[in-house]
Amino acid sequence: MQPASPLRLYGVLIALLCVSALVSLGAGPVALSFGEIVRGLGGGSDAAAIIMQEIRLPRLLLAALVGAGLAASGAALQGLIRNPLADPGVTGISSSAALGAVVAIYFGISAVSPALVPVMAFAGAFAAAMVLVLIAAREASTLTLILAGVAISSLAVALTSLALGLAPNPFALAEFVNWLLGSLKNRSMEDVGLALPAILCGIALLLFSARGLDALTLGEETAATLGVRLVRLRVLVVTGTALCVGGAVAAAGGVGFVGLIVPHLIRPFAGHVPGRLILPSAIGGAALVIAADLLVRLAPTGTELMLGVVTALIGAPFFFWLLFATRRLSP
Amino acid sequence: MSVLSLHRLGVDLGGQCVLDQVDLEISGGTFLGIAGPNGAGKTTLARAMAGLIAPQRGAVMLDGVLMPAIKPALRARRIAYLAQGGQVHWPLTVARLVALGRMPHLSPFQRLSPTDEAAIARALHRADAAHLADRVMSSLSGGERALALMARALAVEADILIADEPAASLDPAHQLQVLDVLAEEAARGAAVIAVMHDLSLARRFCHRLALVHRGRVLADGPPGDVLTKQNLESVFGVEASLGVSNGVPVVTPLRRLKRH
Repeated sequence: MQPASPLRLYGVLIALLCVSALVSLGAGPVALSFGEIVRGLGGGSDAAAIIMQEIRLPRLLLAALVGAGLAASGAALQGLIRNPLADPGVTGISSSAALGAVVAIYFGISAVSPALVPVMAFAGAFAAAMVLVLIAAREASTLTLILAGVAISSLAVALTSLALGLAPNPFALAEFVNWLLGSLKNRSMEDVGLALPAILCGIALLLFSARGLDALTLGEETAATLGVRLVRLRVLVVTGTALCVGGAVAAAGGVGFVGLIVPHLIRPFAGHVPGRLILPSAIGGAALVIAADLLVRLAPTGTELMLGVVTALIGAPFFFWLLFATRRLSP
Repeated sequence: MSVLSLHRLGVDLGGQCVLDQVDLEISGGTFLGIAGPNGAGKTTLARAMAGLIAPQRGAVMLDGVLMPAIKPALRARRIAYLAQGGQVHWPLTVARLVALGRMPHLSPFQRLSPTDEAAIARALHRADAAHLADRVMSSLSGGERALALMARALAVEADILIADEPAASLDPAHQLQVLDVLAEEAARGAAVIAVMHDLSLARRFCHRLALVHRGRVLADGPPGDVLTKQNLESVFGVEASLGVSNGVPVVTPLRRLKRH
């Protein structure tokens, strides 16, 4: 595939983002016109304005942030690990963030303040990231980093399952499902306030790693001779990912496949250059999760679908197709 | 005036002494070959020269300054390194691959300047890879890959070029082409250091040859003086014939000697 000019790539992605955002703001049990959306965003106290400001806007912003954070960290991790199959899940940061949330619920920490659940998700993400940072700081190979991620991930999932088995109250199960499969139901601007700084800082850190990730195309040794400080690069990517994934899981629980599929889709249009993939992936990820959440809201099912289920339902078959397609193309 | 110098260099890898008491001085305009049997420490020597290894003993100095005291970005502008085998992880076009060689000259968010574009074009031309610029790396043959990776190293426009077995697993035409490029770089004033396995090519192209054996430099000088029958016997364990064919020196291993 011919790499598109950067301007055209950004143009298409931003157009996709705007369209999905507008449709997402307008569609729902109460359909709103473009005029009502604009007026509702501007302020006021009529029904349209309240729907806009209290329900749809926070949900839209969270969907965009979650998608941007997950896709950007997926793109950066794939560059760092030099494997298109890597995503935030591989590092164990996603599952550790979910474990933090589940622990908060199980030990009654959430009873003190609901805000402590997202905070614990942050803590889980950071704990996993710290372990990875310590391993990275000891000049470990990328393989070691992946294996450590797999171990952290398995442990987090096992502990989550243990907490699930010991859950004392009948509602715990539903809450676990929320955190493990992801949902943006009943979110407020306070949730946006928690996720926004973390995810934006995370994406900024990842953007600083772009040049180093480009050099890693030539392998770690040659990258080092190009002036890349490998340990610093790993720490940068892992910390940026922890911020993005911690923020995303805190806001929406575990939403899978976004970090895997979005960089995959955009890569050919960015000329396969890892560093040029991060920002377009963030925009594309935002558009994808907004669209997926729209599907969650509009699907005529009895109970609202889980966001992670929808992204997996769309993502998994597409991913299979992609695998076969790239197999055929590569010599 | 030597640009790169090694003083009593010693490197241990995994508790094993790989290099010991290595002294070497390399100056600009010289094509230095490093030869020796498998496992002699040639690659470790090349990596130490490139600043990729922190030696346990002795020192590597760039213009008289200790290597660890030099900032990575500055070192990257002075020393270009062409790794053995040269992996490329993403299917970049050759032009984008070669552009990576300009990284040491750019600040984190800086775009390629006309100076960089000119350097990329020069590197493609010198490596005879200009016709490959728009091709994707994964679609190239082994020889074409070697030229593209060579262009990447040349794009750094460093005054020291270290290549680890640049001619390995190439057909004769590409071998000669790669060595011609390295010789031209030396003629242009660069200090060129290449790990060589083909002794005939080393004899013919290098200005100087360092013979590495069991982690030590056994002989260092003009290739004609270094590649003697005695040295070939004691270092490689082969009886060899040293001849000249059509005016070109040829080193031919004849038979393996029994190890004592």
